[in-house]
Amino acid sequence: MQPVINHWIVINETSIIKDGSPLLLFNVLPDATAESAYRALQCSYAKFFKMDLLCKWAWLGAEALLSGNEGIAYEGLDKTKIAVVITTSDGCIDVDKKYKATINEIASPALFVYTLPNIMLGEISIRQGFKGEQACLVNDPFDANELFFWVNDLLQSRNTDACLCGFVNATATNKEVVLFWVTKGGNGIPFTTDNINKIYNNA
Amino acid sequence: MSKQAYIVNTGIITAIGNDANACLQSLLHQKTGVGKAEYLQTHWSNELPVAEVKMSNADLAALTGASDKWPRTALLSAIAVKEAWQPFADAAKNKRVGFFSANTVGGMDLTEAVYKQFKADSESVDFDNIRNHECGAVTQLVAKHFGFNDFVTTISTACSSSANSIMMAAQMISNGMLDIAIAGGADSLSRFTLNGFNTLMILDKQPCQPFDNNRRGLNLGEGAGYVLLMSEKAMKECDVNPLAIVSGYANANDAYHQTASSPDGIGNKLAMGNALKKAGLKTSDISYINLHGTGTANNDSSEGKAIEALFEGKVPYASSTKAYTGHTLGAAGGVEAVFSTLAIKHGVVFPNMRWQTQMEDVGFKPATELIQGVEINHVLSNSFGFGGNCSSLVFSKG
Repeated sequence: MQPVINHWIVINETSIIKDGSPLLLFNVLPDATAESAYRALQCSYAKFFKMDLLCKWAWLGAEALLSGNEGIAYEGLDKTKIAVVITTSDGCIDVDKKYKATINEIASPALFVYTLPNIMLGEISIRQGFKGEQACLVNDPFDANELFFWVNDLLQSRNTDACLCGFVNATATNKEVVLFWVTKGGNGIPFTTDNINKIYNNA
Repeated sequence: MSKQAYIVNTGIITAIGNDANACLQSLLHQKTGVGKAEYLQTHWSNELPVAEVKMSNADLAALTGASDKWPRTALLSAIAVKEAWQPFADAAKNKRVGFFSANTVGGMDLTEAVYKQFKADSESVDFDNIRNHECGAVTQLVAKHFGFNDFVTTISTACSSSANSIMMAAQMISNGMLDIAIAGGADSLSRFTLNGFNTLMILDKQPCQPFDNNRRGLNLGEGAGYVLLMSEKAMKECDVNPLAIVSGYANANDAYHQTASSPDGIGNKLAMGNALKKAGLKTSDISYINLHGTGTANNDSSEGKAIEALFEGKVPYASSTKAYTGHTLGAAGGVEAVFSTLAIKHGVVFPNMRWQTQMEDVGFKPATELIQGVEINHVLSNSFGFGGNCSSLVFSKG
């Protein structure tokens, strides 16, 4: 069966774009921070404010990707068969630096627990209740072939019905989120390396 | 009904003894292994007590004929594996043998020893120090040393690692996929883990006091613990009687926080409840709970609340053995599986050492005196790890 991209989300320096249409323009906000985007998207999840920058943007991307006027994307699906595969090239370097700045005084446990890039998958999974397979890949630069390989393998032969996947980078000077909601079959854009690259390159 | 996995032997090394009998004597005589670090090179040696195996790597290596260039975790693993395996090595010929070895630090002790130098001049560092860094490499070294090659796997799920390796081994034996399994885990002390736990502010600067109202945190420990499991058929062919049966097991996730349990121990309760269900037992059948009981504010409170809720206030004998061995992380489930087997075999409940004050938010009191001459039919052993990874095992009289 041909896996398909049902929805995709792109967050760049100027906007959040869902399925090709702008969802939020940052120039209408007081600033382009994750907190402002959180408020504009009318999210309600107190733990968001404890997260590091990488988790915040990944979490926001997942919120925008999975919820919409038509309901929750995974409605009716078995959450034990929903996988998450996210690649990053800068990882959690932002919180790594902040944590390193604290270790000569009192090393901050609140920062320490975010000093692994795969924590973003955990935060998304806790929020959405996903309990399937997970992989966090650190690649430089973004490698659509590798993303396709892992996600396609999960959907074709690893007891997975749907997968939240994509690329997330977030540092003090740059943010880049491209996430896809991919299901085993159904209506949508064929999940192929070409289509992943097309969406990524237009981001 | 699927077949059962029988424990026919055990192997262990911790700060309180180099084999099962030495550990038993320390448990019976309330001898702690917690003290000052002598072999671990750390800035914190005067401030943070640890439960260290008081032997150099060379001395550990000599006990099994391993190389002293191995990571310390592999050296500890080999010692405990040898104790469990050696008596049956001949009888087990031509049987399908699995090796399930958990750990969380891998070869970090060797890596961190050369890390500074590596950063300054990577060419000047002997790569052998880094070759076995990865957790699986530790298992492979030990597997090769003993010639295990039918099925070899490493499980690394933080503090529930070796409980999960015993669970997986029991499942494979029950399903007829293996005849024999050596299952458990090992972990050595390292600066990496000591500093990490210190950052989380959950280390006790004094010897720890699990399940005490004034507990301050945990002490890290090191060691290895394995059970030798056999199918009924393999047991008959090897002409050996069981010490105990792995009758129940379950794993659940809290999905609450990176390093903390949920306040009411949702995952803990699920794991314990499902392990009892798997064993076909009621809560009133459990004679003794070997608590995870790390001594941190968070663990003991959520574990205690989960037990009270599941056992509806009628809590059997319960004690943590971490005041003796420290928290041996990836080895803890294996070490405590050996202790649970000893409790069944000798009809004893090990005292929860250093307990002084009743917890305010948990009603039951752990066993604080040695209890001897009692029938221990079923032991529930808990291992709860970071990432919300909660596992419970049930061991029953064979």
